Amino acid sequence: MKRQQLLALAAVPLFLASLAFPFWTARMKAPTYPEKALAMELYAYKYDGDLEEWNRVGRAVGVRVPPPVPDVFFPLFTAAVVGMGALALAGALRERWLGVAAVCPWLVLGVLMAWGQYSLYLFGHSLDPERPLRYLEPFTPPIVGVLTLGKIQTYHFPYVGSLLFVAAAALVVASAWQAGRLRLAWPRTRREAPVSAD
Amino acid sequence: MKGLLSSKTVAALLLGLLAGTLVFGIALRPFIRGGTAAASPYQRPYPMPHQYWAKTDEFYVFASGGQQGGVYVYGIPSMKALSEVPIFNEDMAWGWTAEDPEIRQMLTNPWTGELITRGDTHHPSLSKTDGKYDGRWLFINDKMQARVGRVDLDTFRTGQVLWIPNTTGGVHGFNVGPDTRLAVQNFEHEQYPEEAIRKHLGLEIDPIQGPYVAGVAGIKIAENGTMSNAWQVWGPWQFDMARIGWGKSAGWLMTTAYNTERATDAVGMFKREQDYLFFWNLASIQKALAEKKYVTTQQAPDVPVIAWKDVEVYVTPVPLNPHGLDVSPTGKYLLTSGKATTLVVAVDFEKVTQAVQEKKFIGEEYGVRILDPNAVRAATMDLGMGPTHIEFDDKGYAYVGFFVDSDIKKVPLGEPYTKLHQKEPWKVSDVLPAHFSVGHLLVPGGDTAQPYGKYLISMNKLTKDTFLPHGPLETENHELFNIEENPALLVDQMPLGPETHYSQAIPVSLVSSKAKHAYTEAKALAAEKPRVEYDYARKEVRVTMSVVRSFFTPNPLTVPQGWKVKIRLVSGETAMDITHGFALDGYNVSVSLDPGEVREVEFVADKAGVHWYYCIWFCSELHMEMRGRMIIVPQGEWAPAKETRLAL
Repeated sequence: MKRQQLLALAAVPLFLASLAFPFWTARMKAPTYPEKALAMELYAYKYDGDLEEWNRVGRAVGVRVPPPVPDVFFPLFTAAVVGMGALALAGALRERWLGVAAVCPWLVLGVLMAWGQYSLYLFGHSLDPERPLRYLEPFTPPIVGVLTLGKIQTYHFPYVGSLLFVAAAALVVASAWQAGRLRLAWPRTRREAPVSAD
Repeated sequence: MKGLLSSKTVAALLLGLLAGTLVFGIALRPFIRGGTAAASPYQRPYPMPHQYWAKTDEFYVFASGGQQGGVYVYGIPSMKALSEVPIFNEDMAWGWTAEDPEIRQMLTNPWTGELITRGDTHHPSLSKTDGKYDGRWLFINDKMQARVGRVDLDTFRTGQVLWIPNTTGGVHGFNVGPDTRLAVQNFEHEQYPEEAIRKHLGLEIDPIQGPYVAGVAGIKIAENGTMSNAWQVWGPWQFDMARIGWGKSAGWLMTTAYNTERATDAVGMFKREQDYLFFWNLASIQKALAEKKYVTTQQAPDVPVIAWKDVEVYVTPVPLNPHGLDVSPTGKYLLTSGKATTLVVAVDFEKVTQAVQEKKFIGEEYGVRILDPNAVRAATMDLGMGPTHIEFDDKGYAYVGFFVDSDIKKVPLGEPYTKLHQKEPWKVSDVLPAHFSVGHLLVPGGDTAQPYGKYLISMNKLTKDTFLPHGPLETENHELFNIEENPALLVDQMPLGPETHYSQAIPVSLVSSKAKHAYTEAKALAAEKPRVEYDYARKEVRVTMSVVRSFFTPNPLTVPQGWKVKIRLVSGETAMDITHGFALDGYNVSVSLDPGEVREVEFVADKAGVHWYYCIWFCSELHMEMRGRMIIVPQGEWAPAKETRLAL
């Protein structure tokens, strides 16, 4: 088996394993919760974490977790991750699939981040009009970064699932690179161009 | 495979790993390390780190509350009061009220049906395994009503109250055995018991003139901590302190009696020159049970009552009106003090068994053989006025408290402890001044096979001018000594509410790891929705009410006047320390609801009008708003159309 095939094959279990872990998490630290940071976690198929507790804190601010997503979000998300695994497998078996398999995960990641950021925008801009702290203006939590509301701080960052997904995507890129499917823009390609006939 | 690990691939992986570590490491660090949030403009300097006291305290102290009816809990060496656990008295502050049928049942006399909300806790006794504290339960007795309570150390809440039959109350010494299978409860106040007992004892008892009789109750403790009345041994005398032996004294129960005179007033109770220390062979009690040498009473047909003459028991004279009775860590020495004297006696249990074998008796009373004191004593010490209780440390010393002298004497024990302290035994080696009038003492683990030493708490009966004046009734004073120092160092003093008798201290690690932050009952009931059910036949409203920041559901709740209201309160909280309450304006109804807990209240809605129910614990920024209406509709105005209906 060629090196490129091994690399692409190795990506398949990583893609699938990413399903078992949260792709993204938010951790809230508030003075009244010294014992733990409240967690909200996004898996490819569900939200999880201390959502009820989060909402009890969030009631004053007028937010409700988790951030809203349409019903198709989770089926699409799961299908995309499985699909990336399938593409990697296809790339390992048929070299011509490697180019697509190398590019698609990054597109998926980009779409997810954009979608996620939009959800967070909606989350911070659909405050309960009956909220006790009505002086608070609508806000947009960053998908990666820290949001501070008074003494409450919320950390948002990609998590283990994303790490596995990116690692898998990188393996497929390496595989495609080995196979010469991604060399078009690389200077060495030019150096390897046929020399003149004389 | 060799080709796979080219230098480029390895470099790419390392780079990726580095990038991942940086990104995730920086982002995750505050949570992995439990660090603080980034600097905020609200941050202020703080005199000590958060959790300073939580991390530096070494022992929990469980102090009996006396007429407070429960126990106080504090930490040492911080001397910071942590909690009170109500047991025998109702206490709205800690949510221990008889509106809850479970609590009402614990506080109701099973024979008279009377609700009793007065108690007087005396002797806490922690559960043990192999003679050492194990951190499962705290047992404690109620002198006034002859009850024993069990506090569960995962919740710091009372789990059971056992009522002891055949007595009107007035119990005293209480002790849990080395393996938490047996506890004993002495009857201090003499009784005029049911005829069955009087006949079985065969003693002349006049209900007015006396002399009366008393005994000791054996309490069986099951694996899950459930207590039950196992047996009682009765005889001519009352008993004060009790200790179940271990090690050298295993298999024996020791008790003292200060009224061997069988008198009925104080003067009569110290007429004699000496009183008795009793040795009861526990196997002989089991033998009497097996041979059915017992009677039962109408009140307690399932509790065997044995006569003292049917078991193996010996006495030895001890200084007048003995009080303290404590067993050294190996179970070898029993130290007892004569309250009405200056004397403390050390009895060597090995000499007791030898004296029994060699029949070194100097007479008998009521058929009980009296062991020669010279044959069983290791020492008789003249130490000071009004000796009370004794505790032991891990270095071979006994500490004896003195009520009149207001101090504590430190005394080295005899063999095998001399190799630990290398001092001449039974001679005072240090005097710790106390403020004032020492009752009980505690050294962590000082009544077990494993004393931890280091600290001593003197529970002083009088405070006098130690703290700011606060009226004619001054509070009690718990004084902390560091006994690792020589001479011992007075470290701290703490005023604490009335009125501690004995206390025990247990290492934090044996309890804190088991302490729950929330109950899980409500989680199990999560599927159960709030509901209201009107029972016209029984004139009863049954409600399941969800309680969560900052709402009671249902709200409002309509009730016909005069009906019984039964509300099952279900806390939806899971976060630590978020306790709610349910207090009803104008009614004698108030309970507390810890996170995740399910509690019930029952009462008759006899007063019409709009009565608000509200949360009594400041639970969130919207605590005041956490309230609802109970609309009690006057008789004659009620119609089913007024029923509360919940949208499901």
